[in-house]
Amino acid sequence: MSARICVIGSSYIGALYTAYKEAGSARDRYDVDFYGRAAGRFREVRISDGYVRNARFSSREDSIPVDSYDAFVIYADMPSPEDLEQVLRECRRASASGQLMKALVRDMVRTTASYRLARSLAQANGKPILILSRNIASPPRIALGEAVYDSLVAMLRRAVAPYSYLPFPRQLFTGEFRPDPRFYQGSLDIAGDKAGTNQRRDRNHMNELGGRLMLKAILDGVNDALQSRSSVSE
Amino acid sequence: MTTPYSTKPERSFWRPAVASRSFFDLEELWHPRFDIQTTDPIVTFGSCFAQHIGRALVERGFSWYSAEPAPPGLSTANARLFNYDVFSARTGNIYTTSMLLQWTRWATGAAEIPAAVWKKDGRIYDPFRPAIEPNGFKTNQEMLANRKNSVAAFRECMKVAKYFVFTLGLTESWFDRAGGYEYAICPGTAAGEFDADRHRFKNQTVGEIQADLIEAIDLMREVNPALHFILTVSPVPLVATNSENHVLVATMESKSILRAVAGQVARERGEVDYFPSYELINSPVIRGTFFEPNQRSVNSQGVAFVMSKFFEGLVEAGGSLGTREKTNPARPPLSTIEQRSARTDLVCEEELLQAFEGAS
Repeated sequence: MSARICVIGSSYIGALYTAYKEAGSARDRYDVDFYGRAAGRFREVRISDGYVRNARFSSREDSIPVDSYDAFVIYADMPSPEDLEQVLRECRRASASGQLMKALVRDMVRTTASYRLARSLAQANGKPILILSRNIASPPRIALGEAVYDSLVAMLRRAVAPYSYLPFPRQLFTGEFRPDPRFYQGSLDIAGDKAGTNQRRDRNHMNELGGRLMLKAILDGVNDALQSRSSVSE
Repeated sequence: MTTPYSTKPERSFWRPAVASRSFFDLEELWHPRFDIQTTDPIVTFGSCFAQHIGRALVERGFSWYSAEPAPPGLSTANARLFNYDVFSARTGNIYTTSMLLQWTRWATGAAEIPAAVWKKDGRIYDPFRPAIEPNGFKTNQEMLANRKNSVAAFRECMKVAKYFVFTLGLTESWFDRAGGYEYAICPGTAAGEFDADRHRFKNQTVGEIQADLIEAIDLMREVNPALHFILTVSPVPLVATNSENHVLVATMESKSILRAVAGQVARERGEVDYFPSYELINSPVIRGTFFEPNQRSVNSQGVAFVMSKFFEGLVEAGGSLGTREKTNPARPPLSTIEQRSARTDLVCEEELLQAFEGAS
């Protein structure tokens, strides 16, 4: 039986949705529904009476309750490792304490619409919830070393808990965690109630190739989460 | 026959200015010396009560300046917890004029910043800002670097501000005999350990307080000759005294000294003004109305009353602010920022002394 996955996101899901439509065999094992609203109004998306509300784009024609899903993926406004590093650099410049920086990261994460949605979903349904960061722009604003990137991901994991933070796949990056521009040429986003139809050139959205990479990372992540849950329940 | 009193205004006579009206209707209590514009950078430092002034300035659209703002993304609750935007730099409370001078000397390079630290439960605390971080710091280096940053921010305040508002709070103080520096609070209360051989209590005199205040003003004006000062005296009584006096007597003596110094310096120096927040809460005319039941903490109505008189003074002064705001009611509703800034969320290291009540 295929796993039912609910992906809720901002315009980033345009590339993901396009990749899923072309995914072939993955669609036999995973039944994925997409709900989206562009970044400016993503905060309006909410879970109410057991349904996803206020999404302009939906890959389904009818609505089904969130209870029907086996796992959730939220891909919208969670800060990226690059975002955190920029803020933390400022803090280090001001000789801020370690505990202040921890509190700051926690605040940055927990005030996102992604985290709020995760909490609502957890209340409505105890299934695994995976959260991704917002896309890193290509070219990025700053370069990151391996150790720094890993420590930032670890911070995000801690701040996102009890939900799971899903880092971007390493294949997305060239050296110093710069997103490979190949994945950003011909960006796909969502426009109103259409996803993946608006191919254009921008720094923030990936193309179908990038979408495929992200989709694989997401499906692998969901698979791991479902397997670890079933091994715990056994 | 005319006498000098013949031409005095109504506010100079007790009966019409005070006795024949409700204290809410007291007028012209403060004639500001400066025409403060909403665009003029203002910084605020001092004892707990000074925190109200910064907040009220922000609420009224004045350019309260923070040289050490909270990092973007930090929640309001954590910004308060970590003492951001309480004063214009993260100095914590500066209760005495000697402590003000100490910060000024560090900021101007006239004195070295000491490497003093306090320890408690495996964490490191800043003896000059003991409550600045909720659980102290992890290492000496972290704390010292953080303090250095606040000293630099204090210097920036001096350089950028046009008005420096300082609230005098205490005469009682604690010094390190060997280092010569002053602690924010008695060692061993917030953190660290008290050592009678090392730590010296000093209940400062009028002369000492005045000399330190003047030296601080002069040092700051060397950095920024355009800097003006507004002095206030905290109306909040002492939590505890280390003098031999009863705490009520110690409070009255302490506040009288501070009030005298503030008035004297304002009289002698053209760049200094005095705002009577102390009188607005403590005058017998007010009958203790603005104290909480503990008769120490100023209630939110008292804060609103004081701040309304502050802004009323600026409007009545008839400067450009007065012209612009004449149409606005001078007395704000008590439900404004001043009421929200009730005593409960003030940051006052001195209140840690409360814990020692009945310990003997």
